[in-house]
Amino acid sequence: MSTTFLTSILIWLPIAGAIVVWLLPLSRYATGSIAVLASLIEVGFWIEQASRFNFHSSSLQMSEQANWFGTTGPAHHTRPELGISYHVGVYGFSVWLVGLTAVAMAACIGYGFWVGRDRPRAYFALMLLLTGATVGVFESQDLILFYAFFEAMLIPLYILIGVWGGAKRMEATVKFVIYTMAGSLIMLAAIVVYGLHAGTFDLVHGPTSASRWLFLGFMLAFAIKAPLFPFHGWLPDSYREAPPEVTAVLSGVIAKAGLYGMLRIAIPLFTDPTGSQVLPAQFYRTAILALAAAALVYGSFLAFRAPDFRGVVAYSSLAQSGLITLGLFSGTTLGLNGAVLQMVAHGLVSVSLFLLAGVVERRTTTGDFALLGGMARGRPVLATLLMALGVISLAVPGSANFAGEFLILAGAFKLHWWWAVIGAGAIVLAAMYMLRLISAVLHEARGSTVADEAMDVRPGELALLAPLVAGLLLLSAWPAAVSHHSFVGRWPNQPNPNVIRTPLP
Amino acid sequence: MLMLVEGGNLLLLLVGWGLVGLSSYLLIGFWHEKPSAVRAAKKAFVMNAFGDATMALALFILIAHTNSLSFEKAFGANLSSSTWNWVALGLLGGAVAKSAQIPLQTWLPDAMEGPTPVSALIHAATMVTAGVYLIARTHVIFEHARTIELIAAGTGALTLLVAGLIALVQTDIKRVIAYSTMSQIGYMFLGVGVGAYSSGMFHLMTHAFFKALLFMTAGLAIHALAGEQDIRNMRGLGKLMPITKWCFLAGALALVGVPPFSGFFSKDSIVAAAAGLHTWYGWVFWLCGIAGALLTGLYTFRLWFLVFPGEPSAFVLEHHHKQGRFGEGPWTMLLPVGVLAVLATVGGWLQWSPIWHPFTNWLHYATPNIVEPSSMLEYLTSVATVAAGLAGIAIAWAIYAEKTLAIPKVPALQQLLENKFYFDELYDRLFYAPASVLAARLRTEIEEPVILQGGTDIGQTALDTGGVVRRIQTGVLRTYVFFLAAGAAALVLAFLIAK
Repeated sequence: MSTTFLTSILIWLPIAGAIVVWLLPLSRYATGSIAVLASLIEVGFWIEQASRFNFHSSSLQMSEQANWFGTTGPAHHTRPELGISYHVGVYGFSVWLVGLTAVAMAACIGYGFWVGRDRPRAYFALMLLLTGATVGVFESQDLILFYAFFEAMLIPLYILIGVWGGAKRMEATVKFVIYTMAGSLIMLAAIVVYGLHAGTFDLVHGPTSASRWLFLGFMLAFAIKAPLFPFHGWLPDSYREAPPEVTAVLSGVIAKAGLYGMLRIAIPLFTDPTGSQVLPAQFYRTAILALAAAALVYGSFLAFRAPDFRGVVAYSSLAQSGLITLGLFSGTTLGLNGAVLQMVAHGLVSVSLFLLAGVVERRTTTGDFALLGGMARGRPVLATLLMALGVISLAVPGSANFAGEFLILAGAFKLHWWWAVIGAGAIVLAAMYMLRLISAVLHEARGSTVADEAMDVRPGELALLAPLVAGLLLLSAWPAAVSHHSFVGRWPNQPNPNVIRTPLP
Repeated sequence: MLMLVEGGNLLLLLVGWGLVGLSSYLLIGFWHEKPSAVRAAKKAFVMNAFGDATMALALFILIAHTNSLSFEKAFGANLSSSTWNWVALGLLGGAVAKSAQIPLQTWLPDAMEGPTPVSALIHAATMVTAGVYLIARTHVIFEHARTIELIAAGTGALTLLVAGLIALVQTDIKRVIAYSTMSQIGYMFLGVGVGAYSSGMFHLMTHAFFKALLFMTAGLAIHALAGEQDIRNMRGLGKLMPITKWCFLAGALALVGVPPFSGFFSKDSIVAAAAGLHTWYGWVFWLCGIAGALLTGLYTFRLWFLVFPGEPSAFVLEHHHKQGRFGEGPWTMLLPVGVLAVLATVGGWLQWSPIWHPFTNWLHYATPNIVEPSSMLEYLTSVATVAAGLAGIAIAWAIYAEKTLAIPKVPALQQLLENKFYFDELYDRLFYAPASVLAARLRTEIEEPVILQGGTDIGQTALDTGGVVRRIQTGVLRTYVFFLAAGAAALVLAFLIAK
């Protein structure tokens, strides 16, 4: 049986689901049920894809390609072919990121159903649209298509924060849109210039480029999305004002799209596979590593003093983005393997932690540490979940995040010892801020907003969180599932090593 | 813990290492509504995280040079001596943190916030001694970096003295025993540091017996007195709890190293091995060991004379409640104590190194000792340490039982000891306070004014620009035509110039 349809169906199934729930005038319950069902089927298709994927092959798999626009026509026979096509497919690492998206979105859509969001048809349609667009980002093998999906992620997020967010949601939304639009417009310019000079927008057959401007154009967009210090100005407000499940998606999945962009585009298009030339990805390596290390240390320090639940997890996400970037740009196999593992592991952890923040906020109306405390007494499930997620997140040895961090830092160490020393220092800081979070919520005297009647985690909520935690425990037991099944051979293994030089002012 | 011990490579060892640290954190914070317990748990975890981090760095060095973390490959690697030093130093960092040696010792006394069986198991017998095991397990690395190994020995010697001194003024029964644990692990570090691995490991074993015994008997006392831990309130408890009293005495004598109790056999060979180095620092270590024996006798029997002999005090009579027969704890608590008491007594007979040493022979293939003190030196050391220990007991007896000897009044020294040499304060000033201030500063100086406000400013600027540009959209046809014409003219001009 042909398996290529799996790639496309993973993109279009949620989008079709979105159209269905948007158009059909169904009840709140039916709408939510359809959305949850669609997201679960998505997970099912992903399992099918992963089980049929050949992890021993380094080439693009399950790919589909069709003309989209800009190809040679009779009137333009003198012009070079633009080669913009609907080209999708997956590599080993993309399979894991698609899986992360499918699983995380299913949990978040389930959470939205559980809390009963207003305007259910619009809400669930947007969540499903977001799922499809994100999967599209991870599967696109054409720059224009990639850009289309990259922007398509923004629209649902914009509305989800702006409509269902907290009190200061408009401010947060405007900031978020301006930041990400600024990045992606520059990326669009970079894409157009790259494509015109290369004669194709295809990612698989596209040549490498030596243009530093183009590289910086791409990197800026990804650094804002990831985010990296100092491009994270949108992050604190958005993470605090968005509904918890949207924050979970933002930090667990959408941020990974920025990191994926570095992995799939910024590094392979701007690295010389033969190693004979210094292309921009190598030229700027030290600068980017410095930014990544800055994000790591800066995020950790801010997380240590953040006054609320979401603030700690938000800044720890900034730190983790820095850490993953450190692995991506370490230029070593260890670092790349660790980075993909860490993307998946941190994705699951931060989704779970933000959902748990939502669980706590629903009971106490706040995430402020000064008003919380003592929730462990009489709420064993909540205490167990938060404790387990907290220690996985601070990368206790034996956890999936430990494996990821260890690989990343071992890779970075090969480059230069100081990157690993900075990373090791961040391990200590991570212990400090995560334990502070755990204690402030669970331990000591009961906070003023914690009522006796505040319930433990309900079965419905547990049904959402337990699979995520189970996934993390599985990854802890067998991290090589991701780290040894992401790359075969050397990445970036670009088939076309011709270097094009793009003259730019 | 078993993964730590049985791990076939350094990574598995590190995983076990981290997981025992996690268990320790969770168990110290067992009474999670008590702020001091939560604080102690966090402190223990963070200090151990520091040790984990230095260990991880040592592992990264090995990966970078050998591409492997197996013990064999690491031991057989061909590295420069400075690289060996860095690897050994990283491992030593982990060992020092886990085993509560100076300078990372301050978490262990606070860890006594946990339940007593936890203190007995992981904060006396097993987990905290993992650092000793680590050095013995990776002794090849430490032998390549002999300087670092001797630093480990020096750390042990310093810790055993400092902890012994602090134990003299502690008033909490568990804290006295905790400091004695630190001090005894100092002996073990001294042993494995000078290269007498089997002596260090042997002391690890006997120490597990008698220290667990001491903690459990202390737990019996605390339990019978409804949670009271202050030894100044416990006078005369022995009369009400005779079994506890005799079991504690067995543990105390083993701790001081009085023959034939177990501590005698293991401690003396460590001290003798230090002298067996035949260098000036070897003799310094030897003197530290002897002085430590004196301190051990003193603080252990200070505890003994304050708590057990004599008539029960009013406090004891008021708070003591019977749980089983003879006013003792229930048999479920007494049985393990009894087993441990037997082991603490006979556990050392396994070997007396000058004459009979099956333990050393057994470990010979895994970790051959690199110092072999002469039998003469061993006998001499035994006499000296036992004499020092007995002298300590005698002084404690004179001060606390007979009250013929007054405690010398040196307020400055007493204050220094009661504040535990100000390590906590020093670390607060040196690390915690700067980190907090830095975090707060980053927030108020960079994050809020630059990053967050910058975003808002960009937003505001965009809105303002929009406001300005909006004025062009007048809706008046004449203006539009004017702009159209001007634009066309500009384009034409541009083409003309380009041509």
